[in-house]
Amino acid sequence: MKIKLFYLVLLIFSANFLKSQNKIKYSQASLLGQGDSKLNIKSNGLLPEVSDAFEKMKIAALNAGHDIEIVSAYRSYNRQRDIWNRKYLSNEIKGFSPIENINKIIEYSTLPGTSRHHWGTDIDIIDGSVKKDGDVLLTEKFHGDGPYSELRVWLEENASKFGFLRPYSNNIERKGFNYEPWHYSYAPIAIPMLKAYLKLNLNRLLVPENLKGSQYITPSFIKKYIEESILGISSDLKRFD
Amino acid sequence: MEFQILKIDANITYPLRHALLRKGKPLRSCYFKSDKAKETVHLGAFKFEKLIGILSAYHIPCSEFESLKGYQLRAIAVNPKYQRQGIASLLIQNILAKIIEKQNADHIWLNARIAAQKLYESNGFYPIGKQFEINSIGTHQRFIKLLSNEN
Repeated sequence: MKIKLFYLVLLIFSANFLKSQNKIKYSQASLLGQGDSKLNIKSNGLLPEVSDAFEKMKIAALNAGHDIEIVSAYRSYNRQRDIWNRKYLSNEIKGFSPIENINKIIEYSTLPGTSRHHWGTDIDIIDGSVKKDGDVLLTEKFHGDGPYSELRVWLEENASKFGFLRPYSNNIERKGFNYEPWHYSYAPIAIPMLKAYLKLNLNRLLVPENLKGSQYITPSFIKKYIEESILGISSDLKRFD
Repeated sequence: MEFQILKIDANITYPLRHALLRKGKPLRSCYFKSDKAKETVHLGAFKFEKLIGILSAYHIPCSEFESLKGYQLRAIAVNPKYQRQGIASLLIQNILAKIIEKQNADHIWLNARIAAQKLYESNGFYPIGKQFEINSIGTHQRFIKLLSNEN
């Protein structure tokens, strides 16, 4: 009995020690959006630290007359896989070849396991005080006379004070996904997570059998995808160290 | 030749389900889980006052797209005397319209005997996955119809 207790104490001690050393801070599962129940994601779809920063930003925005509403935050691997497989099937019915199919999907959607939304650090946001009319995440709604234009201007000036940066900026030098004025990432956590993410064995992890078209997702495809899409983000979000 | 499609209670479907789909089996083999669920829709095809065809739709996604919103069609049957008059298609078109109206579904799916392949393909369904055997009933195929068509 005493010996068991000793091991238990040792186990708890060593687990805390490892945590303090950041060695197990970002598990493979948490970087890929897997194992939902074990993840530390709050009901608003954010990690606790991200949620605290978001609440502060939300209050500041309210004081300036903007009601920030989260449209999408955490998204699981399985959810992203279903979206992928669904689009693959839809394109297959339309007669696309596998390569055309995959290239078509990645115009707008990420390969499952590569979405920043898997991390609990990223949000798609709009102004919730404006009545919704159809699709809300459209570039034109954030510019000109669009309903979210004022919010965008406020965010561009203020979001970074709270740690939130835009990964998919409208800088024409940037490769990868299209401009997303609604997408913000909590840099203090998203940057070290991306750093940890890039150390994973992605050639193996990104092509499970139950992913449609996975036999066409080759190591060379993944290499290009990492360079252009995963790293096709504003430079502020890939300043490691 | 006048058929009418109406929403009906689950209990109304059981005699026809039993006679046409579970003949010789206990009546309770016709009771499906979720028959009484709020989202479930049962349709009946009537000729005058007589029920001659049935179809049920359940708010259950197909296993390939578990995190998306889907409806499963089950227990589709038409009295043999009235077959080959388009009643099954009428039931399917009616349920499609009702589900599309709800605007919350991504897809509609079903497992069907391969003998019924033409019926489903002519109503816009697409076969997915491999054919499979169901004991004592025969070879089946899963069919799906995708509703929204974004991107």
